[in-house]
Amino acid sequence: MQTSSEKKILGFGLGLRSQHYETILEKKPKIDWFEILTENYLVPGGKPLHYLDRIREHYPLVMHGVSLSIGSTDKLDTTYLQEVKNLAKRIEPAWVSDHLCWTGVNGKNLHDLLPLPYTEETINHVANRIQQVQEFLGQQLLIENVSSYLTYQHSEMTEWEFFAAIAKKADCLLLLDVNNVYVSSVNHHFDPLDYIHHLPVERIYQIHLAGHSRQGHYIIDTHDAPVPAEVWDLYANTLKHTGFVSTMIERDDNIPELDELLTELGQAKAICKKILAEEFSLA
Amino acid sequence: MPNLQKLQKQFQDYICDDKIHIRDCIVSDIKTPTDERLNIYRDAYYLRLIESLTIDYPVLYAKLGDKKFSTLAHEYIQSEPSCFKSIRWYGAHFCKMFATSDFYHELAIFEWLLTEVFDAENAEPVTIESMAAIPFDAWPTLTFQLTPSLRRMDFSWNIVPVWKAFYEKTRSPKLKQIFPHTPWILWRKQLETQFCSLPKEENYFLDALQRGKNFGNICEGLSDFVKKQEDIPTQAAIILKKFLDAGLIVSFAKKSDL
Ligand SMILES: [Fe+2]
Repeated sequence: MQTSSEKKILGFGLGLRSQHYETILEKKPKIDWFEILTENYLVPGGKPLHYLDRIREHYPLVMHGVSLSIGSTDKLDTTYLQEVKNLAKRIEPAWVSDHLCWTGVNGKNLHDLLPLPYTEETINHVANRIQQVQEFLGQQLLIENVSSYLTYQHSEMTEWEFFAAIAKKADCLLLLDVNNVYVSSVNHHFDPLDYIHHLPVERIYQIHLAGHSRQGHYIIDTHDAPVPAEVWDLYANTLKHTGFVSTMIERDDNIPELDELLTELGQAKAICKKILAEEFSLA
Repeated sequence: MPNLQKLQKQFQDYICDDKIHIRDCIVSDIKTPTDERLNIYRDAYYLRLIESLTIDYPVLYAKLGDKKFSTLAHEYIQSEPSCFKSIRWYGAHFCKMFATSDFYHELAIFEWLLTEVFDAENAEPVTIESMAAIPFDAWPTLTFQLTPSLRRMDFSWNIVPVWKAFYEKTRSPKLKQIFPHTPWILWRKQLETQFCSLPKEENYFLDALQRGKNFGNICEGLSDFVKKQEDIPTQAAIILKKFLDAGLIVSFAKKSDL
């Protein structure tokens, strides 16, 4: 398995969405890289793969999956894994990621990122499966923290202890979703910086930024709005801890024109530049 | 406390089947009761799947209206939980929510076939030039392979005009039945989805191609549709050229190649 001691840095990226295919190819905007939703390209042919190949000629890509179901107690789906591996061979992504969650059992897929109990049992189970997947794909996997709306009675530790323990045990990398940390910190009443400060910096390869919405007592990870002030603040504080990490904006709904997302990405760059200058004497 | 496997089963049973055993495993307080927390997941589950159905079936959605569509989608989700890794395939059997004689049944099949054609396997069509090089005496033995994106369906309702009116934002024609049923084909030429109805001789021809009959046999069968025997070769050539131009044929083989 290929593991690297030196962290790959891609810069500032965006999620690739079909609404922007033509604009990207026409204008070749200055975006360092794109993240694709893996499952959208596990299709036989047609436009999705056509545009993917053409965009790959001009931009680095990373693959982001939603159906690995790494925390499920079902067997790992080798057909799915083979398809992911084939796609990775086709587009040579800088890395492959999925979520620290489960999506269904008994062969069902609820198409949601469901929460796990934070126990030793789960750590062993998930770390073992991540290792199997890494072995199969021949590369380290990035695992992303999800937003959650409930806590299990028998959780034995905090989410950040759980996340860090899995990373260490599986020897995998992390995709830190700053918005998800914020969302969960409100839903579960913790200090988001306690979370961030506990994570192994050297393993954090990517950051997600996104918007959310409020629903009664909760905030929900909807990815349908611009990144709000509180997430920008947390991003700035995260960078103080991590130093520069490849960052991208994740918008899945109410998708605006590409220019609007580029402006948002510009805001991420400005924050990053300021923090690096202040904290690390780097610009 | 249940082990991880049992916990996941109970969680899933809450979301899909309203079974409440999982409640005991969830932390709650007065402000945020257990059901409220669990229902965020349950509501999101239905919303996400219903949304994916509205994306796959935009005209059906518009014709039925939000309320009726959502009710049917809800029933579909309960009867058919997803086993797919990608939500893209989830709506495959949604037509079963309607009686087979129904207008909506045909509309659902048509819209689903459009999604299948959209990302079906690619295949480079055969050019007319490449066929010109075939020696005259090899023609009767020729067999053909059709594009993997090809889908066929017979309509007994005026589905396509209604579907078109929706996209062209023109007044929708009245729903009406068609006698006899009209055969249609859908396929992709390069990246673009195409569809058209077929006159009966072309439908026969395509049918025969699809069943692997050779060109000689196909021509013989054309006599059922062409009045004068001497017109058959010309008629066969016209149909074949039409199929080639449409990008429907992706390979051919002479008997000696087989
Ligand atoms: Fe994310």
